[in-house]
Amino acid sequence: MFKYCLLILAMTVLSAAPVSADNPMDVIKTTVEEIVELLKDPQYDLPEKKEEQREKIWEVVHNTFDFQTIARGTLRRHDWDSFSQDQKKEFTDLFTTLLGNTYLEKIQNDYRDEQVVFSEQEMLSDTTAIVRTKIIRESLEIPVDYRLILRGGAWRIYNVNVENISLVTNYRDQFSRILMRDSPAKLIEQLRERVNKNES
Amino acid sequence: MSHKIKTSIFYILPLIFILFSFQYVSGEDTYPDGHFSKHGFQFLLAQSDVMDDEFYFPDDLMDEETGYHVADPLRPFNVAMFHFNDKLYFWVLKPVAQGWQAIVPETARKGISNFFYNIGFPVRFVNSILQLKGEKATGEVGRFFLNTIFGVLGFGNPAKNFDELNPDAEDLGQTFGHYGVGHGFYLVLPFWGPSSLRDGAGFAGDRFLDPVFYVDPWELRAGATATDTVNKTSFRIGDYEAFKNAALEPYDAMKSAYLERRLKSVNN
Repeated sequence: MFKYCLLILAMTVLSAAPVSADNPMDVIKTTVEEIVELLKDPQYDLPEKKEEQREKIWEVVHNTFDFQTIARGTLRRHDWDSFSQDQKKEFTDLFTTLLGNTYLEKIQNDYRDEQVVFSEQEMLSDTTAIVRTKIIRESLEIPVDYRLILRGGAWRIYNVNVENISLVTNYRDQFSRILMRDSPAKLIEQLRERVNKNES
Repeated sequence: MSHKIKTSIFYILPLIFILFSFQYVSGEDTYPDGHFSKHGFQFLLAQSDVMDDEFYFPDDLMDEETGYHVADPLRPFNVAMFHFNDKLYFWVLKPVAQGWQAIVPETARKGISNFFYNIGFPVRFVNSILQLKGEKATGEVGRFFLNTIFGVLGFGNPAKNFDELNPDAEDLGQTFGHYGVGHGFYLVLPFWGPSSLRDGAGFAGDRFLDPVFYVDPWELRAGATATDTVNKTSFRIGDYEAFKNAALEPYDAMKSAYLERRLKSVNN
């Protein structure tokens, strides 16, 4: 009897829900602070260290941004359905590269000691939230809102709104138009061209 | 309770649970634009299922459907204007703005941008009134007086610390939108950039409330507008480039961005 109780107790303890993940605001704060620290670190001022800095920033970005959801969101359902499994993977990879490269290039080259103000967090549901921030560059205030989803115990970003422009919607408008006249393969090719062009 | 009832409850409860949760499952896609979950319920599957067709995700991602379907009957013209503005930016506006940024200290540029924003008061005030947005209108008045008097003719911005004195700016295009007027069609204007039939008309109408419009001679007026434009751009060098680099189709990206922003402005 006693052993049985002990067993029940042990099972209860072990099956207790894990401590809930950091809240969304903390995730954004940590991410931004880590990136700013990397950008400000004087050891990366040398050109030969830029690649390393870029890789480190990418690590942080890749952990917090849910690129698969973002990529999936940029295609309408029937458009996504018209991609083969391989194409879906290729598209997601290329899109992630495009976004990553654009973002990394911009912040590495254009960082001008912008301040980030973390305004507020709003829960949209148990598993989705908005975190509102402002980037203050000189006297200009740029509102940047992050939308996060709780998945596998971690909050990750699935959309960004910069000055009221939704990243996912903007790409969806572009891609849906391309796919109205061209095939998925053509879209993927265009993505690849853009990525290559930016890398050169 | 009898043994039979206990047993049947054991079977019925899970069944009820399953049936109850079924309503949250949207099996086939019922919306042409791709809504997955009718009631906002999300199935959170393991990461490995992401590539699966059954992957659901947040409603709001699907809410902002492809835009703002605004007709673009003048597309060839608009694309030409887009390219014209693009060259104008890279060949003229950007170099001048970079020079301006290098020469003029930040506080001075801040002051100039505050000054021009301040004299936009009549446009914002009148349009707030026209939309019957009393709080916004009073906010604008408060801001104008505070900044003109204590901010020394608007160069300063003591009002920035007060939320109620910083309402979102209104204009005639938004006023038309507020009363249900649609965009008509998308329009890209040389120099001014993305607009629409409605917003273009609104912009023209707003000129009568713009003090700069009444400045004579025309050279002075042009000079004032140019200063304002160059000064504004000096804070944003690099943004347009990043936007272009991130886009597959810059023209469509800009159109989408413009229309989305206008929609949100009208609705706030």
